[in-house]
Amino acid sequence: MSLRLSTLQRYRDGVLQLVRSGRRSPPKPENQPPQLPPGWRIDPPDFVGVGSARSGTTWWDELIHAHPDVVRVPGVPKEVHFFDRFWEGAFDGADADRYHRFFPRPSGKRAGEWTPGYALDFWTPPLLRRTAPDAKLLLLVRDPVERFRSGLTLTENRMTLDWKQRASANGGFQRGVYADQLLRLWAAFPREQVLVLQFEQCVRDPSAQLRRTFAFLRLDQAAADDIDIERRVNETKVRKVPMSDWQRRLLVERYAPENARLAALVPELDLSLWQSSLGGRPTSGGSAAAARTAAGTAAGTRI
Amino acid sequence: MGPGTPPEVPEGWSVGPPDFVGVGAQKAGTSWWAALIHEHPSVKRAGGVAKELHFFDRYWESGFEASDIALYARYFPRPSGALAGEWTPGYMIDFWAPELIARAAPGTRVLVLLRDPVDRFRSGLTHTDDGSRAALSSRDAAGAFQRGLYGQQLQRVIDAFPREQILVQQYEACRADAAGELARTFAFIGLPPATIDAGRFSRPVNPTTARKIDLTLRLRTALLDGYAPDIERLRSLVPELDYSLWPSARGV
Repeated sequence: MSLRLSTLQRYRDGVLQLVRSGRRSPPKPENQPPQLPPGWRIDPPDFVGVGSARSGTTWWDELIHAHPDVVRVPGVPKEVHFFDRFWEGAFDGADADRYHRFFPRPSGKRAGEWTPGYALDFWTPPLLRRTAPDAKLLLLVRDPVERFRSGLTLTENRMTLDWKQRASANGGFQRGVYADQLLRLWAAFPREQVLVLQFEQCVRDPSAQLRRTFAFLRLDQAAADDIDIERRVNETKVRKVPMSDWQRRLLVERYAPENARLAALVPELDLSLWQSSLGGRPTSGGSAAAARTAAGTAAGTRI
Repeated sequence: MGPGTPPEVPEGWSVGPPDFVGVGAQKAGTSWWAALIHEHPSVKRAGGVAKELHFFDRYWESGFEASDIALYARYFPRPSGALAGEWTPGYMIDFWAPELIARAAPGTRVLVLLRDPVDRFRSGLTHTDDGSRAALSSRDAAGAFQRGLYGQQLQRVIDAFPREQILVQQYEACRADAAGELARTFAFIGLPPATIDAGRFSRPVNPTTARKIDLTLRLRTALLDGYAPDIERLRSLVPELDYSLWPSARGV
């Protein structure tokens, strides 16, 4: 299929589709490496997506894997979740070898995975660097307020006790503090090995962003023309949890300084696409201070 | 966890917003420090009121109304001339709390006690788990790490309150010079100097009884690298702290 630059209506449908899309079921605690097809070899992954949950990573991962030079053995999930349990640091060569076994490929092909929690788990970037030092890292970010709202669906049916609501709200907030995640990635990897993608830019101009992604992965960019970018991915039937005006306004204001820090690190992000960067309705006496801080941070004060 | 019902107001006492609210940090000596504050003869707490009210925990889910502001004040009866307050270390973590505290108690003094984040992480893990190492999960570790992101947390406090209403102190400094640091706390809250029984200074309150985990070198390194950006942020927000007291801040 060839790339169809859509009409406005199709474009809007695509956005709604993505916004509605859910996440796959939680990872199995022990993913087993696949059988090695004859003639294929095992190497560290060529690329690893490290974030962010609820930001369109399943869509983008599928598009990358639609490239003719990217392979994934059946049975290997998009999200390997390999490093989740190694937080104490007990990780040795056998563990690294086991991770590599998830990425068989014939000669000349590329392989990788995308686990959105890697960027959030503070212990993962250094382990990833040890295990796949040359891997290209992908961080796909989305307006943190929309990301937060999208994540509420997941907690709705599981979290019922009051304190868990509180814990899940705090956990959801942290997932949208991208600057800290990026700085931890940069502490472990050379900056040129990390590509930050913006969901909203991917939606607005998927072809250009896919070419950019392929170029970063040293893949043939022209293949983007032959990929059906509007493929529907990961649709869910789960009912969305509405956010109150107060919750949305609060998130917008609390994310504003965090977004400003991110913008200072990644100038090519277009934060005008993010509601949470436009500032909320002024309320308490703190809003002016928040705006000052955001401006100061964006202007390049120490991060 | 919630605040329970408001206390009876003793005869001759009156209610009002708290004069001070401690907002953080967990496992940073706040129970000890709150107990010392309440040793001051002009600080009163009505019977049955906890150190940690957790009043704002549930307001992420529900709206915060004028009646909630009035309800909060009912936890702070005090006789004429005395002060009252509370210290819930989780307030600083909850991204919605500082703004609500500012609405419920706009004139209050905000107290923050911080501790080296890696030490806090180590203490915080036992706090969640009672020392059964096998039961510790990556989720516990991620949560314990996030509770030590002081820069991000203080940003929200500073956005909600005038800077001069916030006092940030260090657990390590309090351990080294309890009398001196307590005098700072008293003065900041607006209390006259008072001599507190020195025996109280060394008496542990809410100590960690569970065995702390040993950090592997790799975990310690990951924590130091992980906290570095936030410590840098904290340094720009609160430059007056003595960062040489924190092993985690060396080299930042």
